[in-house]
Amino acid sequence: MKRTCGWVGKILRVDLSSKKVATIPTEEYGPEYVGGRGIAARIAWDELFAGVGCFDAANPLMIMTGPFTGTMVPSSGRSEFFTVAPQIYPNPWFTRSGIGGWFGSELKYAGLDGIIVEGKAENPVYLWINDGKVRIVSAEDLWGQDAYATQQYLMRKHGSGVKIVCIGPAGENLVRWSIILSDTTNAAGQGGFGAVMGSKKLKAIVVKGSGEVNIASAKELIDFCLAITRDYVGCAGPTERPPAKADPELQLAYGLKGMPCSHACPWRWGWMWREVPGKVYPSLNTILTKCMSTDYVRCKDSAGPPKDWYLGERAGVEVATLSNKLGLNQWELNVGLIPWLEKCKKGGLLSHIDGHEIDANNPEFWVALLKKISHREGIGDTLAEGVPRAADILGKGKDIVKELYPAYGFSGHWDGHGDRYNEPFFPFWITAAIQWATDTRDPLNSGHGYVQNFTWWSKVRSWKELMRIAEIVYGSKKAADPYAGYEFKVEPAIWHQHESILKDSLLLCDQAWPRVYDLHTDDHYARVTIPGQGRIDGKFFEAHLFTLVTGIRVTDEELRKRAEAIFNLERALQVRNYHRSRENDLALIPYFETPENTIGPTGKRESLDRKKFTKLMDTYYEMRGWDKNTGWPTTAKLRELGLTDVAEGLEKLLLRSNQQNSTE
Amino acid sequence: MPKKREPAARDIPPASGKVMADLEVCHQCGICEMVCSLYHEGACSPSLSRISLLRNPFTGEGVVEVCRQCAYPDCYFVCPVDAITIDDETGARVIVEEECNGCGKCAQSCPFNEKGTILRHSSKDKVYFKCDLCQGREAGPACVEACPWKALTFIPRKRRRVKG
Repeated sequence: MKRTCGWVGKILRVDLSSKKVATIPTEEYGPEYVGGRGIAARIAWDELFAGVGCFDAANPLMIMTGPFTGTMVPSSGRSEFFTVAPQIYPNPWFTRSGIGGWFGSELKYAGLDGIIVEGKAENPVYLWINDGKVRIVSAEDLWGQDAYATQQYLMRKHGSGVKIVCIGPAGENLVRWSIILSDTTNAAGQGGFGAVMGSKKLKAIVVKGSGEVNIASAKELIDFCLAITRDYVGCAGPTERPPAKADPELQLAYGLKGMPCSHACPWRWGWMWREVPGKVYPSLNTILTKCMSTDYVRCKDSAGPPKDWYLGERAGVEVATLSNKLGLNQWELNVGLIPWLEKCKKGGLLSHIDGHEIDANNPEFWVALLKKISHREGIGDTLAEGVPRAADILGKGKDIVKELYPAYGFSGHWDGHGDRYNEPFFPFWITAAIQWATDTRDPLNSGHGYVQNFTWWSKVRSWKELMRIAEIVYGSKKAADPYAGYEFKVEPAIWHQHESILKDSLLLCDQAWPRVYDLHTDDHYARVTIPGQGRIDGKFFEAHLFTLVTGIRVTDEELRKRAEAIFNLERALQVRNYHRSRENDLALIPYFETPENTIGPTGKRESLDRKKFTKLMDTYYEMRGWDKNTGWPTTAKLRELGLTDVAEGLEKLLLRSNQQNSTE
Repeated sequence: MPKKREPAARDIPPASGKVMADLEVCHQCGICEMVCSLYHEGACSPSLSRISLLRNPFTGEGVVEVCRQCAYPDCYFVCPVDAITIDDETGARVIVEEECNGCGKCAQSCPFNEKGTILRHSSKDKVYFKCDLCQGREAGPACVEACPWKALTFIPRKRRRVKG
């Protein structure tokens, strides 16, 4: 029998309406579509048709892993979720949301590369997957329980070693920005995927696996992974990650400890808080905080990006824990809703939430707000729709939404505008703007590599040094030149869009990859030298890992070509199902026309120049091989990428729309 | 009542080195399990790993389970087919898979194996397997080398105050 390496061979299909369970071979899609986002895009193109709404039974919820998931590859314990997302504004469409933690690895050990959940259960259920044996079990006991209690119940029932993803009350009540949670903090956060699970009456998915992921070149992979790990422990960013700098008193008081947020990750990106007494309730809260949730517990004088509110450690941990238990998206909360409420208050539009004065420094306000939203009580019912929709319903604060939300109903993220928290400076957020303009969601779930890294690394490295690295990675010094303005901004955007596809398909963590900057090499460009494998530069790590894991030899160029095909497929799906066009892409210009938050090396507060940006977008479409006027992938481009059937699909669509136009 | 079996008439074996985990330092990434199964089996799998990380995400606590390489190894004495031998170099108590009949007495006799993760049963080969300190690996045990924060250390046999 052929030994498959990397992938484990099967994708599970569960129809909750008919209670049918089946599997399809992963081979149908891999290795061409790599995994994760690639496979999901292909399945969506084949099966998801226009008009399927987020809460329809026909909307599939896909959970995909990649060939690296569950292996020794650093920070690879991830999985990626796909569905028609309720949070997308104005009309929900198909997009993705990533999750760290341990669920993806366990799924692979259970013999599954992915799960596709379709249909709707009549009564609450959960899925119990034990080494490929699948049962749909009643979850009536669990419905209404918070996400921690749900997991603890299931761990008691099925053994402490199981890995779980589940929803809290927010997902059950179809809150448009509810999350799917695993452990205390890992979440498919952005997009409102929890509500899709809620609409399917699917409370949780429980997995136990005792299988393995075969590796083609075991010894070489060990050597390579060890070399990468050695190289990147301690160089996650210009400043060392926690807990080295954690307050010693907090460490003693709350057992604060640095921990990874994903399986097989050598970094300590998260902080584990243990039994921290609450401020509003006399509870003891244990949570791993990372990413957004570290905001709640940020020290007053910490160096991080500024916020307008401060809760302190005890209340901060309590609020972070509560929002995860209830199942609410902390990005939408901290960068969208709270700044919107504060601005509405300042503008005299809103002062109270059902009797509670808007005050983000008051933990009692937070607790009341979170509970109201997740249970859809009072005004919480409106806010549960997400800020852009709530502003429409209330008829208040619509202009403030435009300040805080670049596109798709997602609040700003590393783009230099919106909430104060958003700190990148000109010209680097231009690339972020291109990424934002041509994605299906906030692109920063796997697109931090450019704008975040220049913002951070410029604090500790000279521009000259960064420009030299930029030349190696993107092909021109201008990519890192703070005075280059609009020049050479498209190339890095495209490069990072492909990198983003690879990270979401292989799968790898966005903060850890690509490996470019380094503290250990003399020129600060990441590279490792291994006896027997020679010198490997940071840019080529992914392709080399792919070869070692799967045994399929690819070059960096070939792998990125596959990423390009997947990106084009996603765009074709957008065009076919949602009439995506250039017009939609450019709708975010007004957001970027506001003055930037942080003054960069140019010394003045810049904002987007509409003309120059429109021209830049022309360049983008040209470089992509897309039609400049429509923003559609050309059929020639799709054929070049081997997507012949997709090209035919779009041709038919083009023909139809031309006929319609001529009859009109 | 069955008669209590006497330990096989064997001398106490020479001391062994061992892998020791410092749980204060361990940050619970599971890379030890990955590298162990990869080195021994050519595949990544916690259930094929000779070292185990048992974590409870809701308390933040984690335990690393690996063979203590006892000075008086019950598994070694109890094995009816003498499948457990002592590695010349490290002193590791090693199950010779070809000799093992899969009876499981070693797993039952081990005082630390209540979770079944130190002496494990391979459902494929119907034999037991355990930590062998990566017999013959030049750089020593792979998990120790791979641990990113050096929570695992290798204690060589010389440093264990056991005669041998």
